[in-house]
Amino acid sequence: MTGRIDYDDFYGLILRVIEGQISDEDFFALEAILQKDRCRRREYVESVLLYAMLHKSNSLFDKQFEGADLCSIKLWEILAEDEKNAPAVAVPKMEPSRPLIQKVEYKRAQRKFSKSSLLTVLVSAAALLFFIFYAALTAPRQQQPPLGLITQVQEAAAAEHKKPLRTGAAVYPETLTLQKGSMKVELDSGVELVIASPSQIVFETKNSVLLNIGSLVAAIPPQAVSFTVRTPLCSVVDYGTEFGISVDAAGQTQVEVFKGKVDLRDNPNPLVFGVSRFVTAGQIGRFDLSGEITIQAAHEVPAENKNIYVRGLPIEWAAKTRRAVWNDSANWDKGLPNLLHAAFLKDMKPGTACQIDASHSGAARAQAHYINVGLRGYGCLEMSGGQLETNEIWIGRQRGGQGLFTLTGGTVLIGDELESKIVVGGAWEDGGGGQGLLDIRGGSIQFSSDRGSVILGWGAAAEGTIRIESAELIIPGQLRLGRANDVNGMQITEEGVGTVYLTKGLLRAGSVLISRGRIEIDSGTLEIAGDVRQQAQQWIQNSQITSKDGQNPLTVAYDSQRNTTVVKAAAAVDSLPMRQDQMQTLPAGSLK
Amino acid sequence: MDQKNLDKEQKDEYFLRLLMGNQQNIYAFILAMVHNRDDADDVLQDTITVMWRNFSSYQPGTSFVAWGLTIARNMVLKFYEKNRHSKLKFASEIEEDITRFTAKMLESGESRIEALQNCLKKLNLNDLGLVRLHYEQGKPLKQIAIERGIPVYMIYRMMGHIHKLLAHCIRKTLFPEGAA
Repeated sequence: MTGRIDYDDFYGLILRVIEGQISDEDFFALEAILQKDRCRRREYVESVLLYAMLHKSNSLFDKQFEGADLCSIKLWEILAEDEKNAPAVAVPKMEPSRPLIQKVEYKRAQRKFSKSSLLTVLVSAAALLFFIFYAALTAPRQQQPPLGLITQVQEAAAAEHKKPLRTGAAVYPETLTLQKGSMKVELDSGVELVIASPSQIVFETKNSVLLNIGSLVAAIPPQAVSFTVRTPLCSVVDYGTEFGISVDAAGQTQVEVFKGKVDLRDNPNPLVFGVSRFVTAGQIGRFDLSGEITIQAAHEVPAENKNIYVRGLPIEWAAKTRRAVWNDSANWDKGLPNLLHAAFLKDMKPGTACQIDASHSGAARAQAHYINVGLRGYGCLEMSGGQLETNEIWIGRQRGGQGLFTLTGGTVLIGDELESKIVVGGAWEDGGGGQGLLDIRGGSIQFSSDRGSVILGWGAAAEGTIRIESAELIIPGQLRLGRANDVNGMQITEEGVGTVYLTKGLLRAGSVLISRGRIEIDSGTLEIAGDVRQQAQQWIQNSQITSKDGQNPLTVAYDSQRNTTVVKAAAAVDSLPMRQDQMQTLPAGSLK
Repeated sequence: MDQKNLDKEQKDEYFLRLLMGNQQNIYAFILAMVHNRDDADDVLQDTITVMWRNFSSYQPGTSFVAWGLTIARNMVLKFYEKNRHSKLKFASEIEEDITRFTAKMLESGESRIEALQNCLKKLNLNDLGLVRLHYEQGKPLKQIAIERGIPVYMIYRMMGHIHKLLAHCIRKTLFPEGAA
């Protein structure tokens, strides 16, 4: 193993050492890490102790864990995210014909060879090589007609291919282990498959694939009805539809139908099955290890148990000009994004911007499944009018990312297909975060979900800033300043920092949580649902809510009619959006 | 409790009770030293045998685990002596740190287990499922990978990811202020 090893690889290596599934080369790679960094030695010991506890303790998994699934759909989602974000992870080269991980070969006494035996070995090797080349040249794959084409790729790499996958390449009856990125395949039957890494898929016929693990989205035209996705435990037969399907390491399968309906059958062979259930649009069907099929309405499934499917490959901004508009397909690398595609404004040249203006209205409105403004590099979005429809916006998402979203007009509609949130400043890996700025000077942002939230500074070293000037930002859910990179609900690093500058504007939130950062109010108004005066006073005392330059005293009041706490700088009293007699004022500093 | 006053059966029971409460720590120490599960199992077995044979030298009221670790350390040295040409071993300065860190971390005793129990609850059900499949049901990761047709390194990376989460969580629980 060479190159940079990230934390998952590091912990994975330790496990392989413990379980004897490591080559000498990997052992020395691990030793080199430990040699270089003493902190890693401590982590090594922590991991070994953890292993010992898990391996030897019988009481760890008591009845409280009985409801646990025996594997991981979500894990794959997390891994997929990890794969997307991991910086140059050194992945062992895969050669399916031999085991990747080999037992340690212990040194043995060297044997002496005679010249004749050496000659025999050489001749045998030559013969073997000949047969290998012969077999490679006459491989059955080339004798079989292709089943379809790869029509789009997004940094896609498969274990079976030395080079990255490319658009236009044929797909044969073959196994593809997609280690990185995503790709879109169009089969000769007209079926379109969007496959996200990490996945392993076997293309069987133009009407059937076997998904061993991972996830894909299938769009099936009428002529290809009965297209089948088989999984290790069950099968999904299409009835003219679009659906997403995911399979975890244990073979559990989840299928979410977007349009039409599918038949979920309890056997990998779709012709031999005991139980089958229809799953229709808006439903999620699940086949678990107990052999049961359960169907639930998608909106009833908690977000954490729901797989998020990549329905279209991300589309990246490609314009090089200083100012270019969103709805010109020439400005994107794969045509205009719509609600199926993520839009990436990344690696833009500083000084350039993607613009959304009044022409982006009605059918011409800007759309994306979600938007990254500045993923790792620089990204800039300027909106002066029209409409932008999406489900999430990330501004400055990762280490080294710088994102700027300036809103001076128009309407941003945040739907609820994902988590209905705006994140300004994110960090999804160790060792650095992104910087984001959401600058609101007009227009409006509307969340369709009452849990719509805004997070500033998510992950260590991430910095998120919102500047509101003579404008409004209404957040139905939570405004959160500073959040740890809490994948899986675990706080594994320190929080990022969030800052809000409020000038002559209104910031209203269903709730506010300030872990790290502050809100500076110049002449604007901060409104928080409920009576949270004491908490607000506490924030003021802790300088987590301040007035500009500390000059204007802040007042905290409670509007009982609207059940809202109002914080504002004294200079803005006249512009209160409520009658004074409705308010119960608590002077700042009264809470000692 | 004075061992001299115990009959054989009581002595057996006393030893087993002490061992049951501390075996996991002794195993953890051995595993940290020899790095390999199978080897650690062998060394643990030898260590327990020696502990039992020499149980009369244990002073009741003193730390049973400290006594056991002394024996375990000797057994690990014997193991390396016996296998000096065939076992992969870290450089000595790394080994020294590992020994020191292990001994220090074992001081946290039961609280580390309790932390792990709480951290397991924080895993999502799916991650927990994989942990149970491997550790509770004893299904080798390699077998899970082969059965599902995915690369072995990938399943180790998945479990490595979960280990990372658990290790960070335990550290945060035991040392909330960041001290190690």
